[in-house]
Amino acid sequence: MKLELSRRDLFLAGGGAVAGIALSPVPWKLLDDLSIWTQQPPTPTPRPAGPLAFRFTSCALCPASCGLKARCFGAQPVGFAAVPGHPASDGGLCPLGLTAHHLAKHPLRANHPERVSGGKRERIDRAAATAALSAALAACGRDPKRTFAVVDGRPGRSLSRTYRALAAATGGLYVTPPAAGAALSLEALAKRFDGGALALGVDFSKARRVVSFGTPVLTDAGTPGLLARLRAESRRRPAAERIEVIQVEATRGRSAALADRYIPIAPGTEAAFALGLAHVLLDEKLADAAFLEARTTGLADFAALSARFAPALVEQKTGVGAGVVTALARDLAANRPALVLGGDPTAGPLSGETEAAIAALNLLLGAPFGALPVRSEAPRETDGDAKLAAATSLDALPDGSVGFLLLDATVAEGMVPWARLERALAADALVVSFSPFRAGLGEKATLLIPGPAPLEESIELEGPADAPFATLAFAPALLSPPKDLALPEEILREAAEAAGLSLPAPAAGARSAALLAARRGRLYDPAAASFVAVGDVASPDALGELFARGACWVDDATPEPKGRFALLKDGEAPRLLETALGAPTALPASLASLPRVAVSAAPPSLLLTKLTRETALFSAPAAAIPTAARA
Amino acid sequence: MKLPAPVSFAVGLVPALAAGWLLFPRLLYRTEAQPLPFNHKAHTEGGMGCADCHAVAENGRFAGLPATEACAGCHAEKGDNAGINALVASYVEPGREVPWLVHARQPDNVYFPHAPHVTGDKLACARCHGPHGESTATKAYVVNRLSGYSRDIWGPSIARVGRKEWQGMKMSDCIQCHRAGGRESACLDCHK
Ligand code: SF4
Repeated sequence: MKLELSRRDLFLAGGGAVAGIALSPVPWKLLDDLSIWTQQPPTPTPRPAGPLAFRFTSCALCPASCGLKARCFGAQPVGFAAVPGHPASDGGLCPLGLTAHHLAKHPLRANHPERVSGGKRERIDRAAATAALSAALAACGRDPKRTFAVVDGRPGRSLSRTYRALAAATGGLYVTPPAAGAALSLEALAKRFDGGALALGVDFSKARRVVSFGTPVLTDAGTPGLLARLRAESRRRPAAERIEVIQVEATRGRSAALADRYIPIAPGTEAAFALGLAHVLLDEKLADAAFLEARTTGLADFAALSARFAPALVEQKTGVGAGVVTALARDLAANRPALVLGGDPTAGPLSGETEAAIAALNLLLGAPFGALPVRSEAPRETDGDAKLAAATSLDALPDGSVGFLLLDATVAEGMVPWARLERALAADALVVSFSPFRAGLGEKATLLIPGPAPLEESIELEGPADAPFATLAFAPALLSPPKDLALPEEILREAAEAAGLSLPAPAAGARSAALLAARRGRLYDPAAASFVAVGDVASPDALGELFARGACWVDDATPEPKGRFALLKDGEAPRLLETALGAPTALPASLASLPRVAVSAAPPSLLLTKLTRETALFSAPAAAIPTAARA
Repeated sequence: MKLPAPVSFAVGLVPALAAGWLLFPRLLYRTEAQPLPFNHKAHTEGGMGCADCHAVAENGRFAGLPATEACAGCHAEKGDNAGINALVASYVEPGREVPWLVHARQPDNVYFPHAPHVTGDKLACARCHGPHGESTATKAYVVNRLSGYSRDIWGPSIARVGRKEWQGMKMSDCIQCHRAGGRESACLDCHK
């Protein structure tokens, strides 16, 4: 019997094979694996050569200066983790820090100097960039109407010293950004102290109630996630020991959405609300009488002022029910230590008078030297004989006066509004930025001289001004900068020399020497997860070695100074009264259309908040490239 | 004689099914050797817990695979065990880290914090990693030739059927567990 195979049989067998494949894992497994395969880079990135090792440094992307543990293959970091027990961050890290090693390869990274003219970016060489800098410095030296101004976002570094020397040599200005967030409230409080200069920090671990009028305490402010973590831990303790966060703001921002209580308030009426709380505390004798007696002056005058702010009036002004005001004041008094922070609400910055009312509220609650501990600064070398300009504020820049504006890479747009800087510029002013990115203020520069990207340079990092104690790290570099990258220090010195300006020699090692000489504080060695007292560090070389391993210095507790806080400063009462009795301000147009009570219904992710606030780099590259450059 | 149509169809269907279910998985995966043999059970029987080597700090942060230094705490010198001798000779003495092939390795854009899972939700390590602690030999590292990830990410069954809850570390597995616990959140919580 002969088997006859026809074309029909072939088609049927082919159909059977197709059906068989379709019924096997091949199609969907291939689809899944191929989709992962397509996510690999076009040319497979070889796993970096070298053995697996862990190195430590600190993140320089924001003042929190978090400790970083880098997983490296050879010299190449491939991933980051937080450092539990690190004095600056205590195991905190935000998404930006976790991905810091990618920033050097960001599409908006610039590796060569670029001049922007007529909306076009043109690559220039180092010599041309230096010549432009020296010509601008010389012009500022010749023409008193064209000031040189440099803005430095991280004062105290050795590069800062060069900036100050350059400002002094040209008769220019060395500008540092104003305090922001919680630091604003601490500054307002410290200014009321009559016992000499005072610096205060915030110690959330000592507080049971935290009231914020704007500082995003649960999201962006300070050490990432610290207050949220402390609050979560406290929830496992008896109710009386729990930490609660109360956000009082006109708009329900991310921190408000995560807070235990959100109190929506009419914008611009924060002073009336703070005085209403003060009224209840004093009226019901709930204030910290011992602290007021020992540490404050002007109680009678302040009591007279706050007496006018009965909860019923506060309700009229702020839109917050009188019962809510009374209940909150009683809650704060019953759950001390409590602290109150002002800051920069989304609806607009708080006035000096409002910060004064908030400072008085902290005094009534006895917060200073407890939840708001006294701290000192990290030791610093003296200026010696060098001619260095003192730090000044943005207010020192008259409109249209700056002929040469130099923006350090550490100045973020959030710290200094570009509109304010632009107002200070003279016609044809040269705006130079050392930012490694064509983004943020780097995008505004007419001459971009890109410096090292994050992790490409060793950098001195002081912790945030509102931390409970001073910290200092000399964060070692983990990445190599691109070849031919002009270092700001070098290029500035070359330009100054060409302009005939003499600058003092760099004070290499002076900061470490100052630290050793002070014999204060301890060094946290992240590799050993242990502390070494500064007094036990044998030599500057040993100190240098510790810092090169990612160590972080942390100050000892600072003793309480003698002195008293003024509840009301001279002539302050009428201004405070005027502000508190004033009409609410309008919400900025961008926020006016948002619902007052709930901007977002669900609490936002803690991790997302830092990401959205701290960098312009995460905007889609196409959106972040200046229109002129795209054209 | 003419073949009946179902038979012609089956002639194509059966080999294709066999190729898809039996041959394809063999072609898709290859096995790589771990740098050292390791007996988890010998360690856990001695009273050690996962966290003794794979440290999870009190605040829940995970310190990952143990550094060679940690192994050297007990195995600083050679003895009569070939595996320990290899560890000492190749890694402890030269001060190198052991390049373990990690079954749970995820893409670089996946951020998995152990803290909320281990400390927050009190998940046992075995919930995601399986009863690793009972193994007496190093499990073979089977890698997908296309994706480059361990077979453990997909799970042992190519059809993903009959899996135990710890078999599989695909995104869908994370989502399933999060959904069951009412913990669904945004993309950027896990993807950076
Ligand atoms: S908060 Fe984020 S960006 Fe700031 S220092 Fe820490 S990790 Fe870096």
